[in-house]
Amino acid sequence: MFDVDAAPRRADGTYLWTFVPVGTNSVADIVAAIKAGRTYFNVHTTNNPTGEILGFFNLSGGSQSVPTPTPPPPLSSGTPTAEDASRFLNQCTFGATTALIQKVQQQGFNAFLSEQFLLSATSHLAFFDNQPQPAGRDDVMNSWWTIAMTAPDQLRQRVAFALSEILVVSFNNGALANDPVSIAAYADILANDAFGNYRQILQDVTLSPTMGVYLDMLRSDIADPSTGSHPNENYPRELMQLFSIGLFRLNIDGSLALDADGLPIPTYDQSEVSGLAAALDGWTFAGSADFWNGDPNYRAPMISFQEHHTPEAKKILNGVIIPAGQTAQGDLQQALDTIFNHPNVGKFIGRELIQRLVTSNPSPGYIYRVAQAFDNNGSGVRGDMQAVIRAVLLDYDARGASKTGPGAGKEKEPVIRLTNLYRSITNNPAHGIYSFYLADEFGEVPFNSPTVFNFFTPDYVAPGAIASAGLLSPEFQITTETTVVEQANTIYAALFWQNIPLDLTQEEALAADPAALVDHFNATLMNGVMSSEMRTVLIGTIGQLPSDDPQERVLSALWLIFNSPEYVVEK
Amino acid sequence: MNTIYQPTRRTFIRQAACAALGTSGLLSTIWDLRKLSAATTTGDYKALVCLFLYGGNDANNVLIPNDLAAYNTYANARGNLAIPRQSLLPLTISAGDGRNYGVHPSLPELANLFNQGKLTLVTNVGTLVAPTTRNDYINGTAAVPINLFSHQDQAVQWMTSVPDRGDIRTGWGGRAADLVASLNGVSNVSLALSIAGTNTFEVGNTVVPYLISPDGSLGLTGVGGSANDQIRIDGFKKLLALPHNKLFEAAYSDTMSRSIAENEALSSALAGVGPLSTPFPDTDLGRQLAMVSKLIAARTNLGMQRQIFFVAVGGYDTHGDQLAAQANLLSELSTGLNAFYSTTVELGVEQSVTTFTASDFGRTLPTNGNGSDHGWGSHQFVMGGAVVGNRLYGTFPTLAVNGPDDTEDGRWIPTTSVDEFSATIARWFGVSTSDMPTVFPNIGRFANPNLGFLG
Repeated sequence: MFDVDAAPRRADGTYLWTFVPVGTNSVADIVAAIKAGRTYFNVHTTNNPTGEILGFFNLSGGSQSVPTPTPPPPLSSGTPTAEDASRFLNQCTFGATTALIQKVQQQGFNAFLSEQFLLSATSHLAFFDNQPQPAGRDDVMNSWWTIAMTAPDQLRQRVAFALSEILVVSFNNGALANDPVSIAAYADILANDAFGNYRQILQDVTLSPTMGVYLDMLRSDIADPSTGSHPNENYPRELMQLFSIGLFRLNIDGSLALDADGLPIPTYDQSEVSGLAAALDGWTFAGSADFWNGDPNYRAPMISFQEHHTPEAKKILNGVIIPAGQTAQGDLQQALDTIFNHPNVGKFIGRELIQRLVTSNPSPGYIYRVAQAFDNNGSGVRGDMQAVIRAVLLDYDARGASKTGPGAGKEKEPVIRLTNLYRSITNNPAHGIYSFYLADEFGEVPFNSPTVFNFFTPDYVAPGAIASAGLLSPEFQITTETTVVEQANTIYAALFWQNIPLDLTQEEALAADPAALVDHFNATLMNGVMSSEMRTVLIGTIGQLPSDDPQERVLSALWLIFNSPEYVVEK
Repeated sequence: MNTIYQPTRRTFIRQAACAALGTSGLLSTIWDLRKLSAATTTGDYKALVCLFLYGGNDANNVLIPNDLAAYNTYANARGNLAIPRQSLLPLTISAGDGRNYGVHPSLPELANLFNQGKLTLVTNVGTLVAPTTRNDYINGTAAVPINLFSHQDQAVQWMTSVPDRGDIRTGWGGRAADLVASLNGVSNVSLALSIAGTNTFEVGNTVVPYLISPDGSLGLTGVGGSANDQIRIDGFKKLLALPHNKLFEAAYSDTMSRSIAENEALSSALAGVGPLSTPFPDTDLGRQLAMVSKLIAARTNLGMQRQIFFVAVGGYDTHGDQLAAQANLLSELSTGLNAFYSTTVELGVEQSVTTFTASDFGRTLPTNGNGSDHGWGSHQFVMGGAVVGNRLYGTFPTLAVNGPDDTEDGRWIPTTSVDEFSATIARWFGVSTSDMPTVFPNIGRFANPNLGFLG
């Protein structure tokens, strides 16, 4: 339809594509297909002259300048209702519980956050080390589920989970799968750092041997002209694209900044990736006697070998020059400082945290306010995660009235639906270990992302009505005909087969009155926003089940709610 | 450290965003149009069956030189893994390298199919970034697949046919399915069906594989027969049918409803298929292929002109106890494939169904004492009436450690790429020459995009 190679290159380097009818498709058909996210293109590159990659057209907002977003209306300062507390807790923990709802109602949101900030991290590594040795991958997964279900530091672990979907490592890597302690150690880094400074997160992730193995910074060596090899660019590229600043300059509200020609402005170019790679070479496992040999040590940050670190000056992000002759450590600090201070970071990371905790499509003002908190916590400190987390969770868009527009909310991640289930049972007995064997078809298992691009990307747009409305829908990338049924069946097994026992005494006491049962679950699981239509269907359905089988009524109510569109889409 | 092809996807994403703003375009394509141009023929029926042998099948003991000197070289190198020459099942070969070969004694049915011209082997196939010589490999100047010799990576690269990239989510079967899907018209059921769980092979950009167990499609649990089950599923359907004015709720509801409809359509289509007379062995593979047969028999009920199936057997990672373990596996393979071929004859579609094997990698030629370790190039079967048979394809490797095909310890550097092997199959399936780079982005690097084993 349009061949860039055959089109004339214009003076500014761009190409003009004039739509013409093709086949049975009119120009209007083509435009409609583009708007609905149903078109893709195939890019041919020098290294892959016959084509290398496909991508979909999606709408993206951008402008040359944006006004400072107007402040939102003030929030009411009174005691949170139970529904408000439940909504808050479902955003910032692995699931609201009756006890936590009461606690938040007593304390208020801010005090709850302050208290959570003081709780130290429950350690995945300690859990791993406490298992019969050699502990394996299952032990790491058991650690993750058990801590998510039961640990008191819920906010910390939930934020760490969000970070694990931004700063991705995965068991889907032979070396990490063979050494499961690698993932446990990495999970601890994220949990320990979740309430610190984002600069520290960048540093600890960069020097993590787990990340070093996953994205090849470990044993990235200086260039060798005889073979043409050069420092590995995998981690340096992802560090900028995925972990900090993204591909394009952003306006203060997170929208794309456009240049005078209306084009997005790249944040960096290939020479700056190469420069960053040269600034980050020379690192390997702690305890190694030499660069190439040494036992994997995933429990300590990587160490550097100066003779494997590029000595020349390097040009990195924003054209910053790292002078020749610095140590590997010195280069790393200067590089991370440069990246951390790029104006994009607060908007880029802030938006992703909002998406993971609150909503798929944050308003420009919301991103602006969170980015402001990132840039300055009020005491002149940049990157303070506590300030960022407060800004995400206490914003008008998170705490104001539940959203009702057609694009409201986010799809709950499958993992979160499962943790919600166990945490929502009032008398949930203390289990030693929560153990799940989830099929691939479930769609999401923590620390098992298929690639560094996470289970889903923050910019995924489901084709059709969602694309036409210009909405992002990250979680829908793993919402398929197969995954939704597998998820429903996993929930069925959890409820009806109970390999992990559930104590439903309290819920069964309500079963004689279907309306009371439904209202109870509405309060904890759906923050009280269940529609009257859904409520009517549930009450009618539960009422048809035998009144002398309260367990069947409770389990059926839970199964229906956990698989209902209204529950699955958190508002 | 090996130099690898540097990914250029950032450039691409950058350009993509420009295009999204409507200010410039790239080589872009409306996929609805592509689909229309994809099929070289219409009105006929074709199906692909990918049989994945998880773990890395030791192809060195599948196809064995049967001339005395060559056999002795093989036997000396293999040590206690060598299959006795007198037990080999000879192949009748009318063209090729002029040498004689036999197959493992547990493959009598497949030897028979080979001699009837309905089955062939493509030799020393493997993942390649580009044609690779021993010198380049030894000197470290060759671009090699990411994480060579690793199960996870190599199995996925067989499916993606893009071994120099770790971030590809689609498989070549799925990308081919994207192109031919329109031939099926409107159907509730995906043309990509897996009887062996999630796999990358069948994932397309638009086609989503649908999973089926050997007993039937993946439906909701707990909707069986009891009165309570019926009440619950009725309630669930009412919840899905409520008006959803929020787009995310509607999208989730639509997906779940489609899944339920897909399951019901499949169940009903399968129920409309009469019993097949060909018996299947009661093995894991036999049960999977029996379900594939039913789905082929139901093709008209399902409205399918093109179907892609994925079946798989595990256990081929024979580091230990290889002789007994592989004999059992190959026996399952031989009886299962034979029954499946007979069924396609029974259904009158033997010309329209092509089955091929794939596996993580081959294995080391020298014994490790009790088995063999991870290798690279291996031999794969292709079966069906469309096979141009009575000969082998590819180049049989020199079975010598430090020989011309060796990495350095009995792992063969492939002389035929997964791209060439797979593109030959995709071409038969209906992917046009001009669409080939969409399905196989690296195909231009290789000399033989059509190996000619399918007519």
